[in-house]
Amino acid sequence: MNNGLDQDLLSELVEIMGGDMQMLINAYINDTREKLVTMNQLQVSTQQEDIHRLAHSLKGSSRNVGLVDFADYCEEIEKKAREGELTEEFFDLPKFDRLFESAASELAKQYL
Amino acid sequence: MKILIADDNHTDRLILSKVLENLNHEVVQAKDGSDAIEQFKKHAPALVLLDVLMPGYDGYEVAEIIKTDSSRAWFPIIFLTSLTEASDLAKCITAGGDDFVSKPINKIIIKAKIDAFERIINLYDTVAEQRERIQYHHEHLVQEQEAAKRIFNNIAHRGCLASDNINYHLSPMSIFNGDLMLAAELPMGGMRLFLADFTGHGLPAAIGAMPASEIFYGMTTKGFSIPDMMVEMNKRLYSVLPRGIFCCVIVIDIDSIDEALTIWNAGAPNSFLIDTKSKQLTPIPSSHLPLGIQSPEKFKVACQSFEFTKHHKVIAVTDGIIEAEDIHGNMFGEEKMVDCIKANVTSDNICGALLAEVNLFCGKTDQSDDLSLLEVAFPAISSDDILQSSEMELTESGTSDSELSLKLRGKSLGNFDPIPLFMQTILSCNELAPHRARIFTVLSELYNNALDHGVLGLDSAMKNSSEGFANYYAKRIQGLNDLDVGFVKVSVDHHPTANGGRLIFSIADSGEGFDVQKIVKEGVKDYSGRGLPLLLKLCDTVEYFDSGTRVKAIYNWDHHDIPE
Amino acid sequence: MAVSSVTSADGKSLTISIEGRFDFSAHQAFRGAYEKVSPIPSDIIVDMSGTTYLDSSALGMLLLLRDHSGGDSSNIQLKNCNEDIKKILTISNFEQLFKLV
Repeated sequence: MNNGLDQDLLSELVEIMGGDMQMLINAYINDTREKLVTMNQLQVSTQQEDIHRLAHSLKGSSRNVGLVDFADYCEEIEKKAREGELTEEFFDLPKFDRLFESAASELAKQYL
Repeated sequence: MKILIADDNHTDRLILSKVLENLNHEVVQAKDGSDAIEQFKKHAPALVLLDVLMPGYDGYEVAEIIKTDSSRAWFPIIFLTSLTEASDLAKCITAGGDDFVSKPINKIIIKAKIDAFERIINLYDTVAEQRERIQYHHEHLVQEQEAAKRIFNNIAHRGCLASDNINYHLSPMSIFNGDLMLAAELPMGGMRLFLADFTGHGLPAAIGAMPASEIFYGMTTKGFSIPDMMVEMNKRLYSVLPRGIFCCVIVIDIDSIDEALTIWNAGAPNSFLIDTKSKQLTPIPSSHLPLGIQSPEKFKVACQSFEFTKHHKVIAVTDGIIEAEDIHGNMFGEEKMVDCIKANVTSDNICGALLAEVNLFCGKTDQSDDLSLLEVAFPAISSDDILQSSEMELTESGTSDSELSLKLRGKSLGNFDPIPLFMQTILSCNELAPHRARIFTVLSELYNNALDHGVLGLDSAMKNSSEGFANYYAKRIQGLNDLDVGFVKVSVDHHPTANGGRLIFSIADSGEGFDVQKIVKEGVKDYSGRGLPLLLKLCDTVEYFDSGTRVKAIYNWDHHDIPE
Repeated sequence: MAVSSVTSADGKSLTISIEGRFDFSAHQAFRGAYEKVSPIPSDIIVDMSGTTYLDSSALGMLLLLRDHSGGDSSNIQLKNCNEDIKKILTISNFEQLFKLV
């Protein structure tokens, strides 16, 4: 695995998307960046439900595009937030961003 | 297929769209619940893929809203869900979805599911199209039946079914079941009735009804006998009806002057002759194949004759009444019919009583929709009535100055009825139209006397009793069959005169003759059943020669003296 | 309603059996039973031992069979008819066209 990317899945995705792969990657990276901005503004103490939903959404789309590590972390956040058990310590925003950006830059290198 | 994808996640949407487009489907995208509803209305997709978790309306709410849109034919909804609990998955179905697919979407699975639904959609479309076609054809058929019904109405309501001496019930034509009932007055007094049951419904019956009724009315008014008419009808139906379609008939002649009933039943259930005085019922069974089956060469008619007076009635039915069923499937049957007739034998309206009985038996009123029955009593026609005029216009003169002669010998006497031929020729002189009934009476009277009493030597006194009646006619048929020699010569001579014209009827026969003086002196009304008095009343002169084997009757007519 | 048929070994006779009601619903099956036999057998037997009911459309079907088998030169027997069916055949005078056995 390369920067948390599932290359096999990505190859399959290229087969499906064909010439639209570039458009997809662009859309994904932009959408996710926007979502991360929102995530950075959410309060663990009062907005567990919102965090849960956002993490769920991020997980889903990231899995589709092969960002395995990032998606796994989103899932952890999602599960804890669903039970209302997410803590400030666990909610490691910088880690979030880091996981995403490293995978994203690799994606950009390969497909944009 | 056109597929709607509703998912708030852009990436998911893009990927799934591509997967479906790669499978040659047309894709419409919606980014949330309200967008989904709008796109659904706008594009009318054949299949909908709905994400469950969406902001605003979630998938379940969207499903409920779009499924209740009744303007749409059936379409499937597949939920897209990343939920894995069995209860959540089951909720997809209870919320109005037809299936669910788990995220992340596996393209093999989604293809299989979409293909399966496509097969079901095709099935629905096929059924809907077939239903439309059936509907179209059905409406077409109903229209044709309506047309056939109107034609039928035009046929059946000519004629004299409305006469006082007739009670009848004719199946209403809603399903057009092929029964035909006709009645017409006979030129020499009395009436002819016709009840027919064509196999099959609808158009085959209409096809047969047209020629049958044309022949009936055409030949009856010209005075053709039942056998002649039936030969013609069978010939026509044999050529016109498809094999396998035939027509059961009952034909009845009531001769109101001779007080005789002649009847022929081909393929119908028993008809009944009723003597209301003795309360006796005589069944008249079918004696012949129905019409339209035998080729003209093989077709022969033998009628039966009975005495028929003011205290007689005749009832004819088609098999509808015999076969009318109750709720258990039991048939009404002939026994019940006979019992009912016997119980109502003196009633004015046996037909009505029978109908009531059938309705009671069947327990629902629409059973009487499928039966026909005819009840005929002695017609109220006296000898004065036959002197009524017909309605024809007085136009050309045709045969106003002519003579027609015909000599029938031996077997031809039994095989050919000359009256229609003479009538047609005489009436080509249209001024004679108002005199039609009288002329007919005179001519057939003179001819029948010459044939029955002259050549065949039959004694009219035989007709005074019921058995004698049947005997008389049986002997007549026998006599005609056995005839080798003998002749009747008929000649009708018409001259115009200053005021109108003169018809001279001359008939000669090969018989023994009779004592004219004796008969005239005794004033025997029974002579030939109608009586010399009638001839004397209608004609200006009647003279007998050669010991009564030759007769000359003169009928003068005046332009200004039209018979009432 | 069930129609079955059997051709004799020498091909000279065909027996068509009708179980149940012989009415319009038997149309296709009845026709199929004789139309597919070629050449047309000289003797045809319609076995009505199991026939419970006969109506005018059945009479029509018998006429079609007769027509198919040579019309006046046909030789068709109607076998084992029950009383009701015999009565219908008699009223229609069909014994003039078919042998009632």
